[in-house]
Amino acid sequence: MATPRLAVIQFPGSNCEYETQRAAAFYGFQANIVRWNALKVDLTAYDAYILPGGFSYQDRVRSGAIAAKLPIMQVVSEAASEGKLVLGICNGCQVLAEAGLVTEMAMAPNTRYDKPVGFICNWQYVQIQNPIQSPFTQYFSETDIMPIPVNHGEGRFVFSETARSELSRAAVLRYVSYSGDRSDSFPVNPNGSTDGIAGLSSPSGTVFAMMPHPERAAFLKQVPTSLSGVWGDRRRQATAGSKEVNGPWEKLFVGMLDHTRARN
Amino acid sequence: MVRVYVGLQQTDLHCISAAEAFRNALDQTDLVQLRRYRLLDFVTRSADPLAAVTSYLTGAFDLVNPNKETVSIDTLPDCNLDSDRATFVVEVLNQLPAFRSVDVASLRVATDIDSVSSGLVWVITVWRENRTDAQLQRDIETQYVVSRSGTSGLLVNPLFETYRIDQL
Repeated sequence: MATPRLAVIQFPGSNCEYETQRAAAFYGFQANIVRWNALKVDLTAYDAYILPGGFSYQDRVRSGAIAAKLPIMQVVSEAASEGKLVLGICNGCQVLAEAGLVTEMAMAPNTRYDKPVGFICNWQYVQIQNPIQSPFTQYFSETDIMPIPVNHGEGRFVFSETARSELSRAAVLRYVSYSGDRSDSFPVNPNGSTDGIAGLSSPSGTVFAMMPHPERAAFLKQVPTSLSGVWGDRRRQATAGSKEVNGPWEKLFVGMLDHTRARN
Repeated sequence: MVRVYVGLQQTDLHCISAAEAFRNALDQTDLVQLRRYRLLDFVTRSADPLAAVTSYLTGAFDLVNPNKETVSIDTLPDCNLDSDRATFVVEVLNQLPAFRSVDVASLRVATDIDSVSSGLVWVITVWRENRTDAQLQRDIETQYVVSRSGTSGLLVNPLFETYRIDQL
């Protein structure tokens, strides 16, 4: 069976493409960094796509707005329509939102108590609602409390009324406390996002847009030793000599891989 | 109220990228020029508001950097209104009031300025191409302003921004 091929799309200003490629390759993909102006014939040869984090086009006009209009996004859109998986991480999430490839949503500037709060950089926790709705989250359970870092200035999900009413059909990442408690307020919700949403799938499940960075929690060594909960415990045990390598977000990459293999 | 348009003296990278996106990615062949200004609306208790704002802008650099920015008070600068072109002013505001108001208390120079609100203005000039004003207004709104997908619009995201379009 051929190894599924994954394209990590590099826009001018992307800065997370290398670690994203590394995480995808570690969990089984043949992962390549592909430039935003690659030929369509080369792009369509891939089985899955990731739009990585960064500051494409320096966030000019709005975050992700310029990249969303590029011809490559038409290729990505067609691939998603064919059932190929498309993951947007942070700036990639913003690009997908601007391109309208998930649902009617936008990534607005962060707020705290309805006031601008600027750029945030921290570890948060998320839980996944309806994980079976998307290949990306198929191996998670609704009780999993997953640590993950956030690093953004425009991560507040806002939705049209129609899109918000259809959220029950999507796999949804929501910010929670380290003990799994939901709250729509800071500090559990770090950026004022609607319903504490950190990411979600398209209705078909094959496009997933998330603001936190799974590639920065793909390996156990990336988890801070000071973190609370199960993953913090595992990390502390690893420093004491255990050989555990795989991190909290292994399941996302493996879910992508297994779905892509089954599809091929 | 005193309205101040703040523009960049040199290259405006936002305009460059937006114009490139319109012309190359979105196939807008009618674009002549695109300009961008920060908008500052001052409300002052002074008997001479214009003098008060001018005095503030020349005496303090909290809101405007004179090394790289230009200021035009109450008048949109450099408007070329040739008959074969049409120019539209698009005012963009964030829906949340907190994003529009400047913290006056933090302004370093003691002033009689009561409030300052901020926004953004894009000035779009297109070839008229035998279109009526109504057609032009519709085209500007759908093809340039309101961004709902990857294939049209760019300047405003209607899910968290409000806008107003006026033809000069």
